[in-house]
Amino acid sequence: MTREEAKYESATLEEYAPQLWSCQNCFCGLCVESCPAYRELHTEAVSARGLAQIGLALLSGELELSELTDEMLYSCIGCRWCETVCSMNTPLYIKRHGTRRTKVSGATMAEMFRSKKVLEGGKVPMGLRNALTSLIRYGNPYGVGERAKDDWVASLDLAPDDEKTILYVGPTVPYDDRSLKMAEAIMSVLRAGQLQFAMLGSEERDSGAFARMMGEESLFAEMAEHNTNVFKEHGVKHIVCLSPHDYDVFNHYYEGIDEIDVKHYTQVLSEMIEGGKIALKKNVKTKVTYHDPCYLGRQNSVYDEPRRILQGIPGLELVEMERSRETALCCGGGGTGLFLELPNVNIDKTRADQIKEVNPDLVAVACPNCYQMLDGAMKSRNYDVEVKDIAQLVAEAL
Amino acid sequence: MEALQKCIDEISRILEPDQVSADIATRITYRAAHGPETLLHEDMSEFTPGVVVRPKSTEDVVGVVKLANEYGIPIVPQGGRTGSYGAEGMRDCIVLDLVGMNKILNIDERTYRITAQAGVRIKEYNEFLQKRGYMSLEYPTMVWTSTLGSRASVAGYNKFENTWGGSAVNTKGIEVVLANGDVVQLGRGSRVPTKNVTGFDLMSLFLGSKGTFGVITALTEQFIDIPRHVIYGIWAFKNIENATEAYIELLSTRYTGVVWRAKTYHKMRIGRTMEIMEDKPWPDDVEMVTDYTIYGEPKIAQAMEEIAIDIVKKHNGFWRDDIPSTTDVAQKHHESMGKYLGMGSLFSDRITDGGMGFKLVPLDPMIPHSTLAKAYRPIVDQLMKIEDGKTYPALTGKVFVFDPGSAIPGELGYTKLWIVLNANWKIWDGETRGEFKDWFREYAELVWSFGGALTGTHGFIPSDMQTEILKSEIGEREYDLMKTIKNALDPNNIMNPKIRY
Repeated sequence: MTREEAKYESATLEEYAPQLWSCQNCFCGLCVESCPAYRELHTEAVSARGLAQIGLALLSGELELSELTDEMLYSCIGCRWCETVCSMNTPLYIKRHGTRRTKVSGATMAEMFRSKKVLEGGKVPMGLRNALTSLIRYGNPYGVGERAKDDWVASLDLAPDDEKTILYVGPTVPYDDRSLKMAEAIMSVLRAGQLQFAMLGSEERDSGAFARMMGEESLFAEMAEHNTNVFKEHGVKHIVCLSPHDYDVFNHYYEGIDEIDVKHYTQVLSEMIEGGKIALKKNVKTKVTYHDPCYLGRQNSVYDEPRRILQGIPGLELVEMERSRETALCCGGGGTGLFLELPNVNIDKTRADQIKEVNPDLVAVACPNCYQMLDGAMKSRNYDVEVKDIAQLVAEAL
Repeated sequence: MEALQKCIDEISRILEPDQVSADIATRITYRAAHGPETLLHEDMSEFTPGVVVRPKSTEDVVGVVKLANEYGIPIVPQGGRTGSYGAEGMRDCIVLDLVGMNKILNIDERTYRITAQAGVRIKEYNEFLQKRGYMSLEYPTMVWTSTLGSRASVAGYNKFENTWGGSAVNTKGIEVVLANGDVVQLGRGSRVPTKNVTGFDLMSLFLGSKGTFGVITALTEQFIDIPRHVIYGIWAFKNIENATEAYIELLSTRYTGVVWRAKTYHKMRIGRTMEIMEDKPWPDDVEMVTDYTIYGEPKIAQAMEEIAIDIVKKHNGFWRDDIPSTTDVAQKHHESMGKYLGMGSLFSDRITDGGMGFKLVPLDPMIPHSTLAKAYRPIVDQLMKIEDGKTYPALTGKVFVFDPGSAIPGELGYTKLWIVLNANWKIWDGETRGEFKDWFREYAELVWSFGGALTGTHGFIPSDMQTEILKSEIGEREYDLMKTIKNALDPNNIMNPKIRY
């Protein structure tokens, strides 16, 4: 393993073998029934327990990577439900010091298979290939030149000389309309709270979260290196993240940015409300359910801040879904879900059905991936449920 | 291979494409199970099925069974694959993954009977009942993964077995697809009461038969009202004998229906668990703890609690502040028992550097209460031979005694002694496997010397020793009668034929 790989917790399948064996030894299957991909496809080959057995067979040479279907390689959406419930992740050592390399996780296994596929020059599905190519060229997966982001940032009239706090909008802004609305709402609330912040335009690259989920470990390392240097050059002290995926990656896998305080925007907004920096005055009379993003909730235990914000909005009624907080179902937009549609995998629509069960006027999200996936799912299911980001609701209440 | 391929082609014609998987990667994911049988085999391909089939209805099962019979291909029915033995695949067999047959079909709240398809996961089954104010009697360790059909097929052990019986008692009716493709409804289900004085109990043949006579596709079970009050108590003892006598007295028939469960925990198991999972040291002078769970109407439960306290005190039970409260581990974890399987990590590098966790080997002999207190120490001594490096040198360092025996109530007057070993499967070799079987024979003789049995509950027996053990425990003629029945019901021996009669 090179120094760079070690730094970002990259690991090969060979290095991950103890975790594959742990799963094979235990075989409790806690991960199976609630795995979103398993529930769609009903084959163990897509669950963590199945992926572990596939991993061992790949290592022993019993199985070739080319014998895996796209379903097996790409249907895991990285929600890390399996990692949370895994019996083998219960010892205190793992709870306290567990890392991507030592936790048993179907998501990590899937990422490793994808990485192996990329490294071995295997045929990556078209949707992913395009997204990866674009990530390499432009730092975003949408195939739009970097200038668009610079132009957009230039139009925002931000104070250029104060870069201690940056709003890191990530690779979906300004290219995706919904993510753009989300970013604009966050900015308007931060301004209302008189928080000085800057943006780095095209200097900020994808955090690497997308690259890693698609199996591009070396690209992940490259992007991490680039961003780390950019943050240092600008003297960044605080990062406010739009996406929980970036928040997770910065906090857990970047090295050399320990002195930088990284927060998700819901944490910042919650602090601003509690500190009296913004006041929620206007009535937003609506019935809302909140969809926990996997990388904010299950992966980082940020459950209360988004709820506190919503509960502080006058007139807003918050209702919980049966599967919420730790047990929340993914929107389907993790892993490669945002860029690759697989036949018979409709996790987004399954989540839309669960949202509809509590009959809300609106579902609040806190992640650009969730926003895109659930907005699409509500429309295709023809449900009369609006999708809005928490920041949009806060902006309405100011 | 030709017959298998033709059979797969025929199955593919009668089922939808997503119900049949013959690719090698999928087949590999359906070969193993939680049980330790795979430890004893070097080549995992022995377990790799030829095809995985996912029936959605009884009709689908009928079609597959008929084709399997026609082509002579073995069938292995699977549920959650968390039992001790039976659900592993076989080379070139048809695995029937019944998890897709997961509908609750009917509930009759006046007769306390519920009918469901075999593939319903116990967690979902239990939640269905809880939402209606009822309590399931199916409480296996693996609530999340086990299926209702598997429970009947292995005659599963349940948490409240001494009060309400195991799965074989709570199952009141089954729908079975026989080896010839006939569908029969056995037991009385929810139609009429269970008692039958005009014929023998056909259903019982199938309960615990692990798919060797047919495929259970639906079943009717009994359930109960959720009790209104629960009291839990836990007490420490300085020696095994006192703890065991208190446990036995708590299970006296005087208190049946009130004390739903009692259990002991040996310090080797509970102490290590507390240290590794909760970071709390265990005091050296507490050799065992005994707990009890009292259910019922509040006044009855409270009265029983006073009696229970008198019983434990009579046997020198006590509590001290330096004993970590085991409530979290011992009681709350019952609600998510699956996490216990993480205990395979407790002797491994997993607790120090996140390395590989080991495989659990549950032994679980059934010991009569008349010899339980006497049997304990000789069994512990025999178990520790695994680790002494002298008697079984090829096992030492490859197998560890995690729990030398926690007493869990079985049928009236008997205890399932929950003995658990941890095995470092990765470094097992031919010598280890041979010595394990030698050790197992010695262990079997010891259990029998105390009037115990290895076939009484879900303890593991190496597959190639099953015939020998079964004959020793039930007798040669009785074993031949089993074979006769098997031959009559499955003359081509296609139904889970790795189970040896």
